[in-house]
Amino acid sequence: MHDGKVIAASIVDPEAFGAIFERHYDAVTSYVGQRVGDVVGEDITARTFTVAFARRDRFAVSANSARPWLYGIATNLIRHHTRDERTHLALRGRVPIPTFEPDPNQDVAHLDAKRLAGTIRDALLALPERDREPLLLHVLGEFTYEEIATALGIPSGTAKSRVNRARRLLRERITAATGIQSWTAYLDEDPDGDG
Amino acid sequence: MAMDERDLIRHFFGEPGVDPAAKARARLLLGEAMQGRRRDVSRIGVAAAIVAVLVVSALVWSTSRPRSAAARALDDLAAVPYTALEPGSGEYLHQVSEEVRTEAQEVLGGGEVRAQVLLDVDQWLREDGSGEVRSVTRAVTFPSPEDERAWSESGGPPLPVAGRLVRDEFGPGEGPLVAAEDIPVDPDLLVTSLRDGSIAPYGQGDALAFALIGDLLAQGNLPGPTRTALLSAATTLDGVRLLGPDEDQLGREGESFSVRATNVETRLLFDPDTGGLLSRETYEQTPSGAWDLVGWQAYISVELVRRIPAAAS
Repeated sequence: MHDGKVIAASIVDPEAFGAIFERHYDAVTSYVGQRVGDVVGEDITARTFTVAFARRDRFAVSANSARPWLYGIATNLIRHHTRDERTHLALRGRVPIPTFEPDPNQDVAHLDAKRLAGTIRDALLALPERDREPLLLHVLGEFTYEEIATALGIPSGTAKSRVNRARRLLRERITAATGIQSWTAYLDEDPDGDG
Repeated sequence: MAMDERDLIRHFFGEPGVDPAAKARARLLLGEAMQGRRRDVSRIGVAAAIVAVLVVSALVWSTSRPRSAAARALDDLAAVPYTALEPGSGEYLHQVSEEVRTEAQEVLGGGEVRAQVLLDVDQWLREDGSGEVRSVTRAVTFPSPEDERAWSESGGPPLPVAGRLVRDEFGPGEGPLVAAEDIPVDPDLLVTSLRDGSIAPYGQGDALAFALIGDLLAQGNLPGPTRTALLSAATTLDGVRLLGPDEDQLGREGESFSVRATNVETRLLFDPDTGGLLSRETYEQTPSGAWDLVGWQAYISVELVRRIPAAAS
């Protein structure tokens, strides 16, 4: 039974909503934890599901997956923790990026890993929130543009342009800081797979 | 395999993990919500449920500062899915509202007469920031018999006339709506900007900062992060309170919040289902200590339209 039917059933039988928790908790908490850290993330993830439960009557029961809806709620809650997110990013920037696959066409592997982490941290912090959110849903949540649009309540074209703009800005900053030039052109790639 | 910036980001954030204990706590919290904290807990299980709620709450909330009921309720409003209405080419953002404002004028002998003016307000905003505002005076009343007597005794000075249309066209950046780029989303900077008048000069005190937040939220065209930042900023204002269920002057039901300053109080009424702002009310304290409603705005609709209708006159 897909998520929409489960949530519809939970209107009459609230306990049915437990299945939504079991299906999506791990993914939501992973994403939230990556965004703000595990300590704050535990609170936000728990509240994501209680808020979702309270508002389940507004979920589109025809939807197969509640994942974008849940991530959207989590994203809204994360916005109340901007400071925690920035602190978490700052801390991550001190941790060297651990591994790289050696690639003769890439000079990333030869970079100082700690310096690279700091560069990515700075690049992420420099992104406007309106661009960072879709980018992180795309990269960490592996969301399609449509799913990003659903999660953030924006048109899918807007989701696509924001992800692409964020990626371009990140690439420019990393290139400027490290001298990496051999980026593969990904801006036209469509994660929806429809061209 | 080639690497791109997405791989670097994944490396940067590291491998995600799931803490089974945290998951169990979250499941307990959800279970408590599913059972209904107040209504459905069985009598036999009341004590156990309370203990469980306290234990879970302590575990879940122990790492964060307790938030007030108002802050939690505003958080919930922020979590309601929201879509900004941004006019595209050939479109207008059309906001419809009703408002009552109290106008005071001095009369012979040094006294003051107050009249309450009910207005229908329509405003249209184009993509380039230009637009038009029309207000029509629908009714004029006196807020108290004393005001009406003072008006009569002073010879009946002119009052606003019902049916009067005031029409203003404005250029880009000149209208009553605030552009999103002029509203910071950094929490500290936003609160400072709301208070110091750099966003819009509403005056001193957190009651007026709260009023400004209301009017900004009512615009309907601000990006989601800005809307969330405004709701978050509201939680930090001095004396913000959750008043609970209430009705606006049009009889619409919602959830009311208040910020009271020295002699001014702003109340915002939100629709908990849509997260939208229904109304803003302003109260002032009288010399006797009572709080009088001196003005309100009811936000009726905001939508995208293709044309501005011709003015009646």
